[in-house]
Amino acid sequence: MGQNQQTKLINVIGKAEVEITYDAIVVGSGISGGWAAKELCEKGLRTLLLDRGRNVEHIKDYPTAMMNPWDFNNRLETEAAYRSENPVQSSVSNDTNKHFFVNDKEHPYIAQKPFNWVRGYQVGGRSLTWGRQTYRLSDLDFEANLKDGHGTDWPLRYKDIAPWYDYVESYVGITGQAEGIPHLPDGVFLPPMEMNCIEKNFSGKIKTHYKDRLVINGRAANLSKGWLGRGPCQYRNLCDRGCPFGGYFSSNSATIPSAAATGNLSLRPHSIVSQVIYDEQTGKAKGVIVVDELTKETFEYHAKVIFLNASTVATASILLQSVSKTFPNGLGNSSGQVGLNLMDHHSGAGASGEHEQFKDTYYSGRRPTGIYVPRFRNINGQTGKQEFVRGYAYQAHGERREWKDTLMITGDGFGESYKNLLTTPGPWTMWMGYWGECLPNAANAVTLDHTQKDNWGMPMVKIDFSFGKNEQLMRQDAIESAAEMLSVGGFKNIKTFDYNFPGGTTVHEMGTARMGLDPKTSVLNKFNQMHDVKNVFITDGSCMPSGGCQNPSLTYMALTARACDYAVTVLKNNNL
Amino acid sequence: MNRRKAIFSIFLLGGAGAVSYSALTWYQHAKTPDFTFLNNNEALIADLAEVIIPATSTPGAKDVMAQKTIISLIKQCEDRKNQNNFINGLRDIIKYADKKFGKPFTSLSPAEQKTIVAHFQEEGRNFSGTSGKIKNKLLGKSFFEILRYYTTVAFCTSQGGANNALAYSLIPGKYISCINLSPGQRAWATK
Repeated sequence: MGQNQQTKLINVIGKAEVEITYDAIVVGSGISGGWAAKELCEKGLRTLLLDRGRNVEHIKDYPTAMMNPWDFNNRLETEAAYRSENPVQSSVSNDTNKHFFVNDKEHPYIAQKPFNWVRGYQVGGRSLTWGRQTYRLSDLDFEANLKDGHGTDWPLRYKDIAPWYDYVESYVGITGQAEGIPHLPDGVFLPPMEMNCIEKNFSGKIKTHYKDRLVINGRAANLSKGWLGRGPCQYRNLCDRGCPFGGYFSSNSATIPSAAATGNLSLRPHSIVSQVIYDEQTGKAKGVIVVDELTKETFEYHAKVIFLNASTVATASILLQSVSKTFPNGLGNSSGQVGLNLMDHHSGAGASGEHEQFKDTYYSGRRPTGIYVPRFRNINGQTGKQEFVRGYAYQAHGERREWKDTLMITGDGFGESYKNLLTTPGPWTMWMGYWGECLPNAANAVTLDHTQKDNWGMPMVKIDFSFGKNEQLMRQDAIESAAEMLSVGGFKNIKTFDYNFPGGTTVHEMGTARMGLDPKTSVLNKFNQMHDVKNVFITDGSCMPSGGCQNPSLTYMALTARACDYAVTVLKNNNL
Repeated sequence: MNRRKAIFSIFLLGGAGAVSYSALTWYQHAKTPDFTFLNNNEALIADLAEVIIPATSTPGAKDVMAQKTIISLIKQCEDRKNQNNFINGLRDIIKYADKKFGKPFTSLSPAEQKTIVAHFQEEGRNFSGTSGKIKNKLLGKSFFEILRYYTTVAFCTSQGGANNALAYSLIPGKYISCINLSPGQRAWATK
């Protein structure tokens, strides 16, 4: 990171200044907060970027990135003590990246029904460990609530966000291929990461057999060529350890260094925001109260504009904690909607199969993305399904079976023949898992339990979430359709699977401070600005009125850039 | 349904079975694992691992010191039930070798060692489907399953195993989506 950021970092970490005023404060440095900091700094605002965890500097703080399997004491296996102490985080983390996930014991929450709240409390947040799949939403998604009556209408349409998708993609660097699919719009792409032999064959078979389905190259924030001084990807597929080559997009590798390069950024790690301060006189937010993670001292920072990017559940809880005379139920919560309509994509089910052909082919290098089957249910009259509304997409990949899967699949066998099985490429296999849309539902809610406090005196977060009938019916269809498509693709020994993930496991939390046209039923307007408190903007997952079935981070980034542009324009016109 | 499965089903249904589980078996599972015994039997574990993955034209389990990794992983990553199952299994191996051949396992010929491991594979073979899952949940994994699992992990993640028996590259640098399989092409060590 740049010298500027280093200097500012030290200044802010110093305790001398109890109160500091900035042009802008950004709460949270994950994928959307990093973008807010970059945009606001580049537009000339002196910006304070807060994160509740430690600093993670690009390259320097990726301790496992260059380690071989034998360099790990536990050889990529997970320690029993780690599993039992971290039942939630260990469902998605492992020995190579666990330093980028919180400790469940230190950060408890109340799950009224099983819900995995996966968190990365450090600068860069979960942008370090995200799945990097990047797909645009379309009007099929933006119009869905209006058309079928679930949730409330989006206050914007594809044409409003399209230029901002272009804008963020041009900076992020997305590998992908244009396909001309209306409901999965093309973007600004770097060269695609090619399909392997079995995937190409599968893609061809599906195209011939189905009128409504395509198998396309995965679109991902991995650099298939060098981009803006980052990358290119070295095909290690070890992204979630942090990439010393900058081969994928994270706040740490991209937006925070860009923000720091302007000289306008101050970064304060270890800063837990307990509330946004509301000024009854001006009717605006005055700043934030920060509890230092390490010393537990309290600080106050003031700014003209505040961006909340703490991540969906955390942003909702900050709003609910921010009570005042005007807002006894939480900042900007005159609608009563803050905390409601929590969504997560449902996934972890599908099918896999083996292929008997192509035994004389293989691949070299580890591609960090796969293939994708865009949504094909309920696109138009011909593709309608009576059983459920909305739809799902598949992520898939083909590979030749290698030692770990051979070990797990074969229950016995030892000696020379077993060794041969482990050390030669096994049959081609295909894994297909679905990612499904989750309907907004007010019963899925984030609330606070004031009788229980965490280590920093904050009320405990309470999550009440379950998937509904629509999600279950969609899941069944996705499992059956995956098996059918594999059969069309010529696969044998097809097995369906359903990991029965609880909510949260896809780590796509959305909702809880939705955008909308009507202040009575929504929290944010079409520029992610609070209806009630004009100088507060929320551009993380909490703003989503619906979730589509696409991986959502790209949309948060586009909405953030758009909201920053709007915020700075109105600020300069003295309308904020 | 074979004999073992039939007995296990009766065990699952029967109250008598439940009583006997809660007494002796519970103790066998819950007691503090005897790690001293585990550490002291490194040579035995090395020989057992070599039976699972022998040296051929490429290195075997002993060449990569799999025994040390196996002991460490069983201590760090296994739950107590399976730790005890593995340690009890080692004791059973010692007894069985003595009974069958009148010699310690480590003094047996490779063929004799194979006979013994094959016996324990048969003993430990799990049932397919639900009853197998219940058995693993209740009784833990068999000695053979644990031995085979950690030998394979220790071998395939070792420097020698990954580089010389499999194919490994920390930094491939490029991706080639389709290549022709060359004769003797080894499988990749990592995904």
